[in-house]
Amino acid sequence: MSSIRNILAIADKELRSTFASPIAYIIIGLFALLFGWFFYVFLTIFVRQSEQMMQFGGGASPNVNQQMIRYVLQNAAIIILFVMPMITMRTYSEEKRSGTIELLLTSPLTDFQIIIGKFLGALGLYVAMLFVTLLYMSILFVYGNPEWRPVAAGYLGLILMGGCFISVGLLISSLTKNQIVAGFLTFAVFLMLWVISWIGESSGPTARAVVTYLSIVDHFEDFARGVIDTKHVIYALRHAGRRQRRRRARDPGCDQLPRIQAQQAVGSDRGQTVLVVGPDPKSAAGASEARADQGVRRLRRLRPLPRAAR
Amino acid sequence: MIEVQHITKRYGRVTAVDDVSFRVERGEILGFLGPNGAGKTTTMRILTGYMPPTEGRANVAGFDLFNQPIEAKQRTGYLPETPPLYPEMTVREYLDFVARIKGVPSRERKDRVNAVMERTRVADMTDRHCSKLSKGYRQRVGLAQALIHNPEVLILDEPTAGLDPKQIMETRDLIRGLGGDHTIVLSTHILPEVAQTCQRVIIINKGRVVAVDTPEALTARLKGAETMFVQLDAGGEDAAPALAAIPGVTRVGPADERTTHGAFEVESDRGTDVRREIARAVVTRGWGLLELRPMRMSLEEVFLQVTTEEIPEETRSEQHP
Repeated sequence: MSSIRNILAIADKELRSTFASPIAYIIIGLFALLFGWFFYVFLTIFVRQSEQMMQFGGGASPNVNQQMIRYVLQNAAIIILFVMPMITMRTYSEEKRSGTIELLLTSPLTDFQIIIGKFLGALGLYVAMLFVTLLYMSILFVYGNPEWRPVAAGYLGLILMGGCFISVGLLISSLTKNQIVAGFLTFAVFLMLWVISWIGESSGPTARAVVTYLSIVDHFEDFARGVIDTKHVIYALRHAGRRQRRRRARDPGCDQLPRIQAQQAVGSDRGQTVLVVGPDPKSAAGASEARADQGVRRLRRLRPLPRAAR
Repeated sequence: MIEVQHITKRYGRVTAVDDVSFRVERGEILGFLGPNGAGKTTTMRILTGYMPPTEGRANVAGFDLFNQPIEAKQRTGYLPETPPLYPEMTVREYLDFVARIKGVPSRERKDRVNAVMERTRVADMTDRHCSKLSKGYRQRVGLAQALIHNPEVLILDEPTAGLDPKQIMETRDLIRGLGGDHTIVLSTHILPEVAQTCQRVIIINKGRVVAVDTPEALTARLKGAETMFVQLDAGGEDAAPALAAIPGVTRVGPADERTTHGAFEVESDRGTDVRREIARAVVTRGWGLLELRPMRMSLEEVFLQVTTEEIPEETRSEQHP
């Protein structure tokens, strides 16, 4: 109870201080502008395509979700990659520079409460930023007839991806007193996590699997299509766990980390089940069944031996 | 109330605090004295749970700092060297936030914030942003922050730094008023401050405790000998040997290197008053005695002596009371 109260106090303070400074408004404003630009571009392309299809009398009607929203959200993910360092870079660096970290660390708060509080604070600003873009989406719903579920999945994906970015950003911010260093390092790491998938395309199957798993943006692509693959959810959650590590190292008395890792390991073995929320053009049914089968097979392997066999 | 046992803190190869032990009783005001870089701040940071020591244990308000840090922190107020203010918050918002994270129940929060602002005299700056406060007000808001949850133990790192003389007086009065109800550890390098506010002093140098005592006893104890200042108007070369010949005098030296004319420092055994003999010796030789006064060792000299030289063995043994 008091732990939740402490977390909320920190999150509240984080949000207040970002909104008290111009940073929040600049970030939200610029993001809305860039998102609006991509929205406009892909909408024009989509309108032109559907006009052409009507002229030539194509059979299937064009799909807004797959031919437009998907690309808008994918590009939004790239913008977020650039914007996010600005949200996270100051969280710890600023406190360390000004000495307020001494207040937090000498207050009756656990490291966990401070970290989660700061995470929620940053996530709050991020969600506010995404909330503005719903305005654009509502235009589609007013004038067209898109499926809402893939859009919701897309936004869930954006939030989970944002959570990954934030946790990496917080980790980096906790390493330095200098905001610029934190911001640039965060940006470099994000960019690396994105472009790492390009290497994967030209290498062997194992390397490709590893590299694709590491790439944040690749994880998001299914979400943008409207597919919630638990593999990606696990990736996001595991990333959220990563930022704990540094704190743990400082506080050897705490043994929570190994347990979290164990849970994650089991989770990712099971995590091959695929939930299809919206229409998936690449016949998600076939692919996902195959993946689900794989998962079941792995599960069987994990199941404990029957009593008689022991 | 506070018990520190053999605390050592090393940063890589540098030892900031080296085997420090001390106790502070309930209601006591303890002064932590030392030159810059002596390890005062490091020791205080360890006591507040900001960082763990490399070795040793500490107990604050009955709770072991390493096994029950949350309980210990609930009972500790801390004013770091630079007051930990959030520039974008107003004074009231800031104190309210601190009250929240220190666990003050929401019903009492408003009253506590008001009471503390009254006590530290920042009530006229309630709605001012922390970034716009003067150094004196920043320091006082920092003190208000440390008092907000009415802690049993107060740890103040240079509480009067950056204040003007009037504010220094007010802050010292405030701290003296807090003693009794609260156990206070304060660090400073201003010596009169220790003499005025503290009941006990720990002198720390290069990470080691070099002396622990009351300010008065410390002054007396370190005075190994009585010293007289003597100024003559004549005598020249003969003066020093003449003074040295007086029974009870152990050493005669020039008082000041700049004014060598007839000024001497005359040391004698402790408890022996040689003024009468000096006066007689001077007058019988027909010289004029211009000045004769005892030289008291001020706390400044004590401090310089303990932090620059080896100190007598009897003082060292006071380390672990």
